[in-house]
Amino acid sequence: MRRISRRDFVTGIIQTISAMTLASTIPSLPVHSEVNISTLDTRKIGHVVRLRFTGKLQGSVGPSRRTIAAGIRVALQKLFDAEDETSPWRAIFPQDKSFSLKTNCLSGFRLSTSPDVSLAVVDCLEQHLHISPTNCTIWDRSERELESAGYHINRTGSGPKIIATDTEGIGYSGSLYMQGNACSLLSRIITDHARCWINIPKLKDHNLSGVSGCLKNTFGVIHNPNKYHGNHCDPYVADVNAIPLIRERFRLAVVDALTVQYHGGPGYKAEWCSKENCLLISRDPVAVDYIGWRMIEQLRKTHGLPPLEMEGRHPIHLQTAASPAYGLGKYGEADICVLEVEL
Amino acid sequence: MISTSLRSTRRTFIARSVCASGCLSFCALAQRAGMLAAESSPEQRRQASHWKRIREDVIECRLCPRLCNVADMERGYCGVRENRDGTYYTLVHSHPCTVNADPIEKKPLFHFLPGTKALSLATAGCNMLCKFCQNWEISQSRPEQLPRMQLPPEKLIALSRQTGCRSIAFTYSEPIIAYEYILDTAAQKERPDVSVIIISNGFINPEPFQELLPHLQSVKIDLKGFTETFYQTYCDGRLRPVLDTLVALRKSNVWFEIVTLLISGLNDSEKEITEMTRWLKEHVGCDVPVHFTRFHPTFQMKDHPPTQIRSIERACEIARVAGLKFVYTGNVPGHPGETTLCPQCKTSLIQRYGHFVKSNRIINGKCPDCGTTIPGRWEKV
Repeated sequence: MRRISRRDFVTGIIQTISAMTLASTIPSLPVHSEVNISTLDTRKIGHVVRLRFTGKLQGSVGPSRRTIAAGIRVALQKLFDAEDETSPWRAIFPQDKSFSLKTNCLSGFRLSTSPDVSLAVVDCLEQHLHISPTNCTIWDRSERELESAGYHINRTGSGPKIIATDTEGIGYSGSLYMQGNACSLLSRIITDHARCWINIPKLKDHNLSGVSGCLKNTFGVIHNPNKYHGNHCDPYVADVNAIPLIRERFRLAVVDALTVQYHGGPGYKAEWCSKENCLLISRDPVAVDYIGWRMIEQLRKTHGLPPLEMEGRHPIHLQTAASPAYGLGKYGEADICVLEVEL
Repeated sequence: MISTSLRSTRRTFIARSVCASGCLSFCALAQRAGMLAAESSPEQRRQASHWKRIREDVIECRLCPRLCNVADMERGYCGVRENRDGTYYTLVHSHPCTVNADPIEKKPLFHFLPGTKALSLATAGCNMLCKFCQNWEISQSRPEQLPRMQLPPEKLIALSRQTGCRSIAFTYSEPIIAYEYILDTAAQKERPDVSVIIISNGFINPEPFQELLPHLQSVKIDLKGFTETFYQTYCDGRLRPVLDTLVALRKSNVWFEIVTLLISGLNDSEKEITEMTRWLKEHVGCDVPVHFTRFHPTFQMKDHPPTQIRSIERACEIARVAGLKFVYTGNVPGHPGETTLCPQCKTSLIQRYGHFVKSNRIINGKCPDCGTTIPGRWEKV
């Protein structure tokens, strides 16, 4: 029998441990392995798809749920430069089995995340990941807000769950999450009910933060958002989004810009609300908000309103979120690639 | 021996029965209050006071020095005042989240009807964010995140009578943000025998405070430190408005006491305590009781050590040297600093253990030994 030297033994042990560690960091491939996702850049930082529905829309009615779902599929395919519609979904959600979709339903049915958008995302998840819709939870802070935005509460029935943090048996986490200046309880929907979350906010003007989109929508995850509106919500928005659980479980942003409130927000004001029939889709929460902000500024200019900066409320939280201290995404035209899709 | 023992047992039995029936009736009332809340709409709100529409439907809240600008559908920093279509509403009027019958000493108020009970209630929210808040579960929550009772002012007064409470204390969280609830309770005509008191951080604007003052019988103010830096860093507040509130109290006829929670290394330096107590003597007088209480790790300061007792004793000594006559230790049950001494003859007047009065020798507000008047609000004998 060959004797193993001490050096060989130690080297072997180190190699074995290294191999095991490396193996544990590689996510296991999804069951449907005929799609090769290994070549896809899954992070797509600084990439935003602007999806416009310009086809035949009946009068004031926006795109249907089916049209929206089709658009999101095309948008993600474009974002990933993928050959098929399915591979981006598997790249984004390689191991996820349960999904929470955070809406923003603060401002009633005229200025909340459209149910058609939320349900279209569920349709896509169902089709491309072969998951049951019951594994999806569409949610916001309160059932009252969801209902006022046109959602039908579904606690236990078939189809996606449509519930809120104030639904009986949900509530907030038992312990505080601290990050920077933020110290909050988190909705148990995001801590306990799903392992990943999709941010589906409404794009609108905000009297304090300037813009309410993807990053600001996380204020609906915490129990004490009222504490974090000082100094134009900065750096609080970045702090909340940097909470490790929120940051690590975030997968995708689908910003509802079908109608956009470009002034007078966050509440609905008919005189400053514009029908844009647009969605902004990205994996970069800062970049998608930056493009949303530019969209709001363009609408303000078109309607003779001054830039947000002149009103002293441009969204400084975006720059903070993009700063090296946070590294939540990209900020500025030079660092963001906008991909246009029309349907 | 048997006879004595039997008498003792009977007495104990009766005493316990009285206590138990009191507790049961209180629980029943509280439960009933809870049931009423369950039947009520979660949307219950009342129009708030002290605000102004500043543009379109953006409101400026003028209740506290924050002067929150609140857009439609949004709430102020406190989380309990909401803008709906350009009108400002309070969401906590008549909706306490907790109600208890506490010893008045727990507030702490040591010179206000000692040995009596206060019906103590809290509503959700606060206009500060103290990293050491002992009641953060309610003070840092919004009303809809907590159980809510429905206790309008008239029922509050009835409940205080039924539970043998001599006062109603708005406490635990910050009462200022339940301003309309306090005012409506204090303005009830049918309460000559029930005092209304607030346990507050004093972070309120002068105008609403002047409006509230005539309706109050007693106030306890938390003076959380004596530097703007401490207020900004650890409370997300400001010191100056709190000092203004203390001066306003001094000019009123309302009884008030001051509490400072000492936190080792943060607000307990000799310099800071000296400056604080000198300011207090000059601006609010030497008769105002000042309590230095002990910090215990909690909320965002779980890693900070409890205050050393000798730090509290040192603060008391500095205050006495500065000329304050009634200085107390707090959160150190059994400490001699809980006792009220006559400032003239130094005899013990009120002995306490924690929140409980062991003996009270004050007669009609005077020391029984030397006749010195002891400032406060006392039972007449």
